[in-house]
Amino acid sequence: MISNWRRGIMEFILLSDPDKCTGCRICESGCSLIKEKIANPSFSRVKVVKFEEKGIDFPVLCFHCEDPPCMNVCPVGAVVREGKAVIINDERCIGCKLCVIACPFGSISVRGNRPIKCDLCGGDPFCATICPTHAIFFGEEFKSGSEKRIELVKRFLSGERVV
Amino acid sequence: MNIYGWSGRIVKVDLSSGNVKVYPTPEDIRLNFLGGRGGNSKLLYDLTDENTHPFSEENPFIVGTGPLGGTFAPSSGRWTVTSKSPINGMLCDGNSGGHFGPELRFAGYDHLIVTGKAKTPCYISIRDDDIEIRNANHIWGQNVWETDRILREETDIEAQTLVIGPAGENLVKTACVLSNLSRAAGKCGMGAVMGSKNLKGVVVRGTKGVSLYDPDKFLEEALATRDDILTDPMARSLSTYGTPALLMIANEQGWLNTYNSQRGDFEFAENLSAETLLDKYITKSKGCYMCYIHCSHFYVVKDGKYKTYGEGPEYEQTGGFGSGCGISDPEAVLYLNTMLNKLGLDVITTSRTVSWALEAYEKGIIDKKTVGFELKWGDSDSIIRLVDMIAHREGFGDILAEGAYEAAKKLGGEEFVIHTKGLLHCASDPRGKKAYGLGYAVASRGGDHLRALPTAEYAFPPERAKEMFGTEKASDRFAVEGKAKLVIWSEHVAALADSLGICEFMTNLIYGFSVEHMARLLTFATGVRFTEKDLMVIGERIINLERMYLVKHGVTRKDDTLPKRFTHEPNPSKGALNQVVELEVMLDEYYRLRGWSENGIPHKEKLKELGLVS
Repeated sequence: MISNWRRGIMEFILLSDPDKCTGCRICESGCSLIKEKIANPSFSRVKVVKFEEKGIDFPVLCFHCEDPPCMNVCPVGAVVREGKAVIINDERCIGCKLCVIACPFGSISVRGNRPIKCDLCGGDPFCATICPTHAIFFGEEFKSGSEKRIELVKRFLSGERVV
Repeated sequence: MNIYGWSGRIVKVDLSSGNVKVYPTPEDIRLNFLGGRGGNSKLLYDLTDENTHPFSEENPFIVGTGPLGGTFAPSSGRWTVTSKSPINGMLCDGNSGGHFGPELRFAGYDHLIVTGKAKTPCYISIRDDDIEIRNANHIWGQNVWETDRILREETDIEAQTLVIGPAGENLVKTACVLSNLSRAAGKCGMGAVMGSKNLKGVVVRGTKGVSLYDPDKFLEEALATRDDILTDPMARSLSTYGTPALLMIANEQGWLNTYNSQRGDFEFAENLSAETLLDKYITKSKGCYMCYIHCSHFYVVKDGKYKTYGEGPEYEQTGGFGSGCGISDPEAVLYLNTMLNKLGLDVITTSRTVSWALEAYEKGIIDKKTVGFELKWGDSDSIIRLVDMIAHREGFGDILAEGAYEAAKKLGGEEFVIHTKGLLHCASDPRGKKAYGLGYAVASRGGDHLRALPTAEYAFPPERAKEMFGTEKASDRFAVEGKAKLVIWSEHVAALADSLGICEFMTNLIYGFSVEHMARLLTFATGVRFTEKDLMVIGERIINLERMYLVKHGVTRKDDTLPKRFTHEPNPSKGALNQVVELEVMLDEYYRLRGWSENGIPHKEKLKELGLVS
């Protein structure tokens, strides 16, 4: 699986697209089931933030930062990089939860007394696999941009000017 | 003993005394009625009788979730509210989606029962094991959207709410309860039951989740179920257009509610078509919890008189206030959709009440003096004004707030109240699909399409109809042959979906979520072995229990009726020209196959067989 993380010089990234998200939270339920063996969105690594009144559904993921505050703040070096993923080494983790505080996106949750975070499922993120509208996708950085550019030109051609 | 699948607890809140009690979900409810609608109906059966008044302290307001609700099973976001009906004093329930039901499960409860009556407005806050009754004086009078915002700000921003608007507070009989701003448990006036208890809302936040007996096998089966749903022929259309896609089909086939079902087709149907909506107003797809189909949408009317936004609309809106009331302007229909959601009014029964008033006005039964202004088919502004008057019980709205059935008793025009047992029908004219007619007539909550949702009558190919219902004619929408068997099967499957906490659209519209999938998922979730056959018996048990509840209230064959319009007035529309519903023939067969008497009373042997009497 790890070899999937790059193709040529293009790296794979996990991204979300709020325009496509329907707010169904299949990602949350699936993540908790596959990782924690229980159907419980509270233990999900991905959380859909909803502003129902405005029709906004935004899947907030771990972005596996280039310069991860969670890794920088960990006093025992338990947050490590494995390929593209920033993961927590459970054996080293002392459960201080400084990483939870440091994360600027609220992407690290807690179960019991331990921090839990996305590990990209070893290179094949389940949330991206099951998302019915591809609002969460795992792919080449290059491609994620090109899809949007093509969509933009299509809308331009159809007469709907993008502001 | 660890319980899997079910949460295993019921919470009972008495608003009169302020007592809160949590107790184990009885095994009888879990194993014999599953939960959700089945469990709710059983609780209602045991807690009330024919003398319980819908607005009395004794009448319980019951919220139920099923053992698959909130799990990883597809479309498992459904929940049911049950009570005695303010409409007809009998069984009343409403089923809805969104995220409220799953959240109640995450907090660790199968059912919530609210009894009594608070002295002043209140709301119930549930955060896992912490349950509080809180003051709601400052929220009373607020609309649904404001109430949702305030309740979440006061408790937990990630909480889910179940609330009523001004209509429920004013005990309007067409008031519904809503969660996620626009997910309504609509018919029967459940909003009025909450209002009668001075209960403005229920807020739930749960962090416990749902434990599964065999998570790995459950996951595998859930994904297999998903695949069968997504490869169903109906999946794509429902996913893209949602239920509004039905409008043009209904129009062509002559079963579109038009001018209070005086016709089955609408000359301005194109204006309200799913394509028009998608093209001009829809900004994105919306889905309930765990739904791969996401049949709902978000719409925006950017400017003009009817500037608005919100979630929806469903076919019941475009066919109810659209063709039903003759409104051809889609922007007015969308405006009304948002307005109803904010006021806490049910789309189906409110639109049918308004369309009854429009017909009554046309026929001279009511006039400008009665209403206060002129009423005319398709006149959006007077209709909007009337809806607001209903919600606030102002002037003529006070009479309509009792529903069309009661209003007609007072004013006349009873022959064109489109109802069964007092409950108004949805926007499908049964003269164009006869199994629907039988379904309306026997539905346990009164005239209702979702008790059976017998779409098999036009969705199944003839071979499959013959195999399952004994005749190819079962899939001919104008035939009566085989319809009794088809409706019975559909009723059992629908009861199972409602009781397990999954969406009927996946079982009775899209047929991918089969009973076999239900049985396997339930077995892996609970560790209790259920077969397809076991489940069908449970479905039959639920239908018979609900029937017995109705029988207690004096219901017999004389109440299993359709309006004269459907049995005696030939449909004038091309797609179902000159059709009427031959109800009595279908009823005879239905009772016989059900093991009920000719008068519609279940035989003792049938009840014994189902374990409902000893």
